[in-house]
Amino acid sequence: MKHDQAFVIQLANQLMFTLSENEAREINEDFDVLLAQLDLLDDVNTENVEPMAYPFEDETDFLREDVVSHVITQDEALANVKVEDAGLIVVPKVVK
Amino acid sequence: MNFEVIIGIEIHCELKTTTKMFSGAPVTFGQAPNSAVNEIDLAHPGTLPCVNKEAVRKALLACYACHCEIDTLVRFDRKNYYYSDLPKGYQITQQFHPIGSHGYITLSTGKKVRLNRIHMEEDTAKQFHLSDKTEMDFNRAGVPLVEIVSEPDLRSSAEAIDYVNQLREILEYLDVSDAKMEEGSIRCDINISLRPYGYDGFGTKVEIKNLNSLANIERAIEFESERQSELYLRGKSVIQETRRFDEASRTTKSMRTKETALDYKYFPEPNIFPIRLSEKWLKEIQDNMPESAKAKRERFVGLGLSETDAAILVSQRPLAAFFEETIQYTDQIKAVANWLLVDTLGYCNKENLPVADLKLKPKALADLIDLIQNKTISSKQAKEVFAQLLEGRDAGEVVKSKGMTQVSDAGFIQSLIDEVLAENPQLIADYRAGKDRSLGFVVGQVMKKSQGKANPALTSDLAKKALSGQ
Repeated sequence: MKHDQAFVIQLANQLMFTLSENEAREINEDFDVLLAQLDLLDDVNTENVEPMAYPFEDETDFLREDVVSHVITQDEALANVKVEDAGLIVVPKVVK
Repeated sequence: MNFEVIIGIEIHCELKTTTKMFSGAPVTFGQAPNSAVNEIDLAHPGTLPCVNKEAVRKALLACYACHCEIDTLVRFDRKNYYYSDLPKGYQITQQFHPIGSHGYITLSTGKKVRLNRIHMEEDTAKQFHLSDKTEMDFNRAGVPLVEIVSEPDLRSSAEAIDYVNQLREILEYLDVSDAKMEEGSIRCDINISLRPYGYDGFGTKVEIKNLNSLANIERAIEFESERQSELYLRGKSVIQETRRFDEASRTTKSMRTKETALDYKYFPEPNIFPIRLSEKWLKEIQDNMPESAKAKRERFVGLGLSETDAAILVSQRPLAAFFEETIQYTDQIKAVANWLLVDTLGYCNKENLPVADLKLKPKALADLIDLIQNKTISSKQAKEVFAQLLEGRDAGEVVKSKGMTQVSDAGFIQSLIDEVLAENPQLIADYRAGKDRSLGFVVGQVMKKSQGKANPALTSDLAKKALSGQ
């Protein structure tokens, strides 16, 4: 896969966040490492091997009953929130 | 219009459950923000989803009502995207194996609109975009949804609205959802393209996101078909894109084009094993399907109501339920319908009160109707009693406390008529000279003397006889 700094910035734009030049350069360099690691997987022979999504092959029949089992308080929910406003979590504005 | 409009609709519908799709936190409406959540909804590390049985049951009800084929092996997939309303970084949905497929909805015209699929997924957090920041409420995160996707079978905004209404009615009567667009429990995305009449292929389609009212669906379709038509007529082409409807300008605006479309990198959700639905449970659900609105309307007509009255009663599920409970207590079916459609709905409209919030009790209304029927009270008195019943009182109690029983004792009424005529001797001459007003006067005086208790019909009969000397 070909990639360069412009490609990284384009990806960031699609995901709607801003990258500085430095961050884009670092991520672009990280891509080289990542892709080299992924190339290693090509060495594994996967012929006639089906993709695996689940660790077990058995089906289950379990469905949870519709009863409230656990709810946390607003204080607990907001415990790690940096900025809040009347119980709402404030995040930077990113309009989809 | 030189082109045929081709419309397909995706509807997201919140299921009416006690808890969320994948967590045991409560589903609420209008509760304090971020107070109806748990660690699963907030995607804390190490949390695992667990599928809500009632959500699956309600999705199945929707599938059966829409004539879908059911996939009895329930599987979920991940739709990956990075946005603040989705703390896991992916939404759990059913991309590859929807629970229902190949169904259809019948429009009021009899036209069948094919459904591509019905699948289950989870709602995202609610966001409030302010001028300089976005505020998040996770109470909605994880609320069970079904997405219902039609084939591109609709040909006009009128058909689109008919389709949404039919679907809304089905979902409401199954008790699958509140199905209220104004509260966001139903949201629509519309796919729209144009093609020359007689052409079999499809033009480039544009998706309009998140329409939240029937009026906006109509406006968006009208605007968008006009916009695309103009482009074609000027020799330009329509680009495949996602647009949103802007309420203020009543136009659609571009959000993203095909080039910048997101790749959701769908893959099977490994944290939920495939779940096999038992034949026994499926049969139980099918055997206990709630009565559809259509069947109810037909049954009401069978009881002797006009099609219009039946349609109005069924148009609101709580009103239909009120009617059905009331006719358990009285056989005056038409009178019940009248009191509900005229007096009760009139009151609700005037007070802007939902039928579900009425204090009026079905038994009290039935008793009132019987009291009129057996002539215990007059229809004039009935209106007065009804006003009290709206406060939640019982009919018998009101009538008793007001001493309101109607007097149908002919001797007593005759004695009052004689009194009136003795006080106003010229009435008889006037009446015989053709002054009909004399009759009204006598009846009015008798009602006054009896404090409204005299049976008006009987009074009128007796007064007529007295005046004409029969």
